[in-house]
Amino acid sequence: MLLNVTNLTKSYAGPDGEVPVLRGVDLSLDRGETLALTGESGSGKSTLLHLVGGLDLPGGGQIMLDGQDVAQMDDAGRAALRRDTVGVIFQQFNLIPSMTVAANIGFHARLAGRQDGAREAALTEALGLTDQVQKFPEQLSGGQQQRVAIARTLAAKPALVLADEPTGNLDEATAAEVIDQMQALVTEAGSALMMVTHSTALAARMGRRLHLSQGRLA
Amino acid sequence: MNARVVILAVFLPLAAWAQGFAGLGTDADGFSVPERGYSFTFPTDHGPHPDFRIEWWYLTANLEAEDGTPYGLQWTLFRSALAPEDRDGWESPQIWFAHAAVTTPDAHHVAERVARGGIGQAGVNAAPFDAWIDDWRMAGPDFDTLTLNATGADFAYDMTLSAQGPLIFQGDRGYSVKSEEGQASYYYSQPFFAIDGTLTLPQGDIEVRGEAWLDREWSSQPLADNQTGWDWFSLSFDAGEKMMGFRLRQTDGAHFTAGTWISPAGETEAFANGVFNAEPLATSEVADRTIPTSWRVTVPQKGVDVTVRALNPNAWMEVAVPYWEGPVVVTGSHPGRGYLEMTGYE
Amino acid sequence: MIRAGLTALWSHWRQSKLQLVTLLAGLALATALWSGVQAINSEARASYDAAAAVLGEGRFDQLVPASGEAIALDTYVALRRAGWQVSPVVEGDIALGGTRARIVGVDPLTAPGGSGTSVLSAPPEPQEFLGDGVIFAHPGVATALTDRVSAQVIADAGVAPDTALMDVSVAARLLETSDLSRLIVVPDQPMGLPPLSEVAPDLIRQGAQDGAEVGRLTDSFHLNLTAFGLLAFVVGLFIVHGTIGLAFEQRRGMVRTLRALGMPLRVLIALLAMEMAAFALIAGGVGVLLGYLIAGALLPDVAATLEGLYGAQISGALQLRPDWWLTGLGIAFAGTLIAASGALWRIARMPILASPGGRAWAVASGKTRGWLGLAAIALGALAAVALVFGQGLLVAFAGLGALLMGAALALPALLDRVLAWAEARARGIRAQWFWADTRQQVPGLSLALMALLLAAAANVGVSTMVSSFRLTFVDFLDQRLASDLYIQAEDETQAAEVEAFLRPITSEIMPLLYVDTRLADQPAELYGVRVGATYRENWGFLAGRDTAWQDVAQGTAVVINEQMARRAGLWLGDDLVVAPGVTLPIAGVFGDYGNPVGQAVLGEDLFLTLYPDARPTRFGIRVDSKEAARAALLEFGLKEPQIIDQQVIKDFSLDVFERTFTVTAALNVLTLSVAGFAILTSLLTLAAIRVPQLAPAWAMGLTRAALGRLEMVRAVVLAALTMLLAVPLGLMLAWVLLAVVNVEAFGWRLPMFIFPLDYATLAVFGVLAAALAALWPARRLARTPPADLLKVFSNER
Repeated sequence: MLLNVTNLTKSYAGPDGEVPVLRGVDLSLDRGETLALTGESGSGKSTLLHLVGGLDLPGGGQIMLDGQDVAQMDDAGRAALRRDTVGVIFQQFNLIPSMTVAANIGFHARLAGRQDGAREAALTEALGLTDQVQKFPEQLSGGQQQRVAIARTLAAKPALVLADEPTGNLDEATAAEVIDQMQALVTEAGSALMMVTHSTALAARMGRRLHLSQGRLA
Repeated sequence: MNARVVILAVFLPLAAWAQGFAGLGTDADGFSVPERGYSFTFPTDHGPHPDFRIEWWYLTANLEAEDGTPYGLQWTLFRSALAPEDRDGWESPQIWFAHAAVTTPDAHHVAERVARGGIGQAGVNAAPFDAWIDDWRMAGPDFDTLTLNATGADFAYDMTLSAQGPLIFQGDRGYSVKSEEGQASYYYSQPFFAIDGTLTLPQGDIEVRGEAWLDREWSSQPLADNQTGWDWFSLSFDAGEKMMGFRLRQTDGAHFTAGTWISPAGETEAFANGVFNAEPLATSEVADRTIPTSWRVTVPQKGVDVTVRALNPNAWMEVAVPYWEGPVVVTGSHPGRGYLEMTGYE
Repeated sequence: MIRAGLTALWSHWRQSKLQLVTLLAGLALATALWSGVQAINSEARASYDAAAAVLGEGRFDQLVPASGEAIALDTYVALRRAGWQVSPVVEGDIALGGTRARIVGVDPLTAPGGSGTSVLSAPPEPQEFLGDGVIFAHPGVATALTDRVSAQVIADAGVAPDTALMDVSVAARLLETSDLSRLIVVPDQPMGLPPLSEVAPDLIRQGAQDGAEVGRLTDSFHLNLTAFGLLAFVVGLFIVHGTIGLAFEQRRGMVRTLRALGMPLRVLIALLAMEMAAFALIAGGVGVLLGYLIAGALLPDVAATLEGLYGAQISGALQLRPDWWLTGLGIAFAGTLIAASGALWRIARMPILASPGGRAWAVASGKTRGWLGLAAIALGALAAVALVFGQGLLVAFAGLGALLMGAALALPALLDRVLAWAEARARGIRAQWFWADTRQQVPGLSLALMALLLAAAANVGVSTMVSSFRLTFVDFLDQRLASDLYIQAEDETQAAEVEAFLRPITSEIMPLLYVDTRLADQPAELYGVRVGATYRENWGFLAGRDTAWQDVAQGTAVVINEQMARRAGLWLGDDLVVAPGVTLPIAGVFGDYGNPVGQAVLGEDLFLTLYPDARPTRFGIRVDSKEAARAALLEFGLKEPQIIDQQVIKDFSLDVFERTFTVTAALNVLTLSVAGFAILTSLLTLAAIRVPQLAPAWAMGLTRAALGRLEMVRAVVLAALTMLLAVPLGLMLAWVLLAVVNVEAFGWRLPMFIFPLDYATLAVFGVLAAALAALWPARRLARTPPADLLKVFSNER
């Protein structure tokens, strides 16, 4: 099993004391699987994604990822995890504005020391970015920027791809197209994909669906 | 540049100074050089010889206070010439410097003075005898009756000297050979001074008496190229005889030695190279150097086999060119006391 | 990983080249001003050190003649033979074609360690120095000296400017004297020395510190320069702080991304620190180079100023001294560190997930402004305490620093108040928007405005001080140099003959009798003067009885200079012991600008009773025709240099001030430029953040051109307000310099003059600089493509 989450909890400090966000979540995911995580706003789906990606610290529970407990890692360990094992596709893309599209696509792979020019070229082509490689992110449309973010993550060949509303800025048709491409590329690479979305239509395109409600999986 | 360099020039062999013996009475720079058979004239020769490079009036004394505590005293005036002449005023090429010291069993006080000739700050008159530098002075109506004084930052002394025997001449009638190559100096001594007076030390004034030994030496070529320093002994035995001996150390580890045996009446017998023997017995760490402060001195033909031990091993002369000089105690075949000077220990 | 990280960080600068240039240029300029000033200082100090070291000035006591000019050789020998360990010095000037060289003869045999020949870069052999009489001369006079003397002359940079060092015998021969000028007292003396009064009653012992007057005086000049340099550096630091802050702020998103993609925080912080260190090295290097150029350009003027004011000779040529270029680089690093540490700290504490973008950079509004206000009040209080109750030059400068920093920190709060006031009174929505928006800009611009405030205040302060000094000094010169000609006799015999000769051809002869002595426990010059019309009419007092000169003439009073009055705590009406058993009331205190030592003036008759052997060798004379008198005196047998036209001295002194002005003006222009640059860079960097703020105004109907114009106006308004604050602050600075620093440093207080026209001009220039700086950003804004403005509404990036 690539990912095994057990009894995961998390709460945030609010004005009237602790506000629980996750109240004991269990889930597992294997290589080659794709999973959609749906739920209302504030249901904790992004938090779950961030905890699995080592971007935030859980309140309790266990996140076994590739045989290691993410919850027990120190800062450097989590940095290594993000660099080498997972790839996060952010809602806000988080591209580096001062680097070209080509440099952005290759960036995560270079950081992880896994640069693969052929794979980058293939991804660039597959995501329809060939004409954009010399441009800077701000010169692209939102959908194009999203594809760059996807290409960057997939080029780094992470074992687990985490996507947080990756199509939030796109129209339905484009979103569906991007999701399909992403899913195809992930399965082709033998990785797993966990995607947060509020769109049931998009969720339906994934292998598995889980619904998060008030911090619990339904 | 400071006085150090000037003094260095006296103690250490400078290439220019160690020009071979020209045999013409002068060296390349016009300085006179000693010649065998010179007949001394007194009192004139008690005075300076500006045509020679270097000259000294070198007095050491073994003293004793009323309570029996032994002391040593040194008063030395050096003359060093930049040119074989003298002139009045600042232009004089004659440079004078002096060292004074008092050694007690557990302390050693040193002072140093430097002056130039020509302006009256330092000099020597033969008759009436007067040798001075700044406020230090050795003077008297003649060479047999002298007063002596010196001051330093933490000591002073005021002494009276009176000769109890004749002048004696070292080496061959006062021609003292210093190396196998023939370096030599004029060298005579007054080893028979009775001395008494007052030492002013940090703990107070001390009345002392004892005996003093005055060396007069002048030359233009003190050491040979391969000589690195010397160990010089002046010993007064309780039986009345006295002995001067020195050992010049060579770079090859060999030594050149010379000495003089002095009878109580002042008759002398010079030792050829090798007759006088001195071997270190023990060393002391003094001023970050290893200095032999205990010696075995032997002169087989005189039956001398003695141990010479420093009264105070720390008798280090911390002056521009430092050296060791202090009183010694003699035990063995010929008990007595004396002075030891050691130079060139780096 | 590290290479990838560096590529990303560097890509920011590749895209924001202007920001990079700003950062490097700001740091380089700041370093340049600082290291330029330091270069001047260290060059001058090295020159004094060389001069003082030969004589052991400042380190060793000296014996100097109580009256007369020289010490007989016999006195020296008598001292030595009494046990006194003293070393002779022969000093004098010789003419070398058009210039003069100072001849210094020392005795290396008796000179204490650290004086005499030890200053030379290659200490000579005894044979060379004593025997052959080789002369070691400052490179500037070596060649001229070679033609003048037969001895071998070796140029040695260790010798003080215009000076030649040689054995005492060589100096005595060159100067044709057997006398000595002074004796250095060796620190270790033998026990039981007879007192000086027994051996050499004509000599007085001068303490090591007394002799170092030149050092003490010039110290204050250098402290002034250093303060100027530091101020300039602080101004530069504001720029660097601003740009670095912005650069980090703009890269917050990138930093988050890098961390999200797995770059450990520690590596990231290390990379950013390395990046800053590289910038510091580059900018520091350029800055030191620029500083060298500035120093090279200003040094000749500074040298002339120092020589004219204090008689301190310094070399006009600059040497590359490691101490200043190292401190220059050091300060560039320190400045970068200070400027970047806050930004790095924030990066280190920034969570990965906080929402990107948004936070206002630099000095934030609200709470931060409150803290700044509190800090400003604390600094102001500190300044008041230091300046009113403190003592000593360093405390005075610390107070000055606190005052300036306090004022700078108070600026944002003050501007905010003023703008709020304007906003409340604004008519029409457009004006209201303008004031509100300007107010919103203050935090972002405050660093640049603080820089402008400090630069302008320094400008006002320093030029007020220099101008006040000039006005006072010119007045003083007119007073002091009232006689027409000044005559220097060769010796006392010639002096007597000259006086007899002059009597029929002059309207007034003023012989100058003087001895170096100690009065009120201080080294002092005691003068005896023949009081006549010239003294009564021209020589005024800071405080004096109407009958002061009359009383002096009758021997019933003494007048003293301000230096002595302040140091000894004496004033009008107090008594002064002028000689053993002779106490006189002080009838007047006179200004004596530029003189390091205390002075007391007696009537000629009384002086001669006290010092019966004293004979004047110098005279001031009043004549109808200077030319006729000069011709007659030459005919009589005086040489040309013995007759000095007072007008020439006056002109020379004024020339010195012109040079001081050159230096001050140059530094003023430089600091103001740095401040202008700060505004330019702040506006340019702000422009990017401005777009979202201006877009709504544009959408509501303001044209881009109007927006651009308003940006200009805004800059001008803010600059004008800042300049308005800078003038009083500068005047406070001037007051501190004149009434506190000057008294601490020189012993006299300068009256302060106000130059409103100068300040107005400066204000105009300051505003102009700001307008100029705002021009380009405003034009860029006016030309912002509408698409960019639209983007603000289309996405939230």
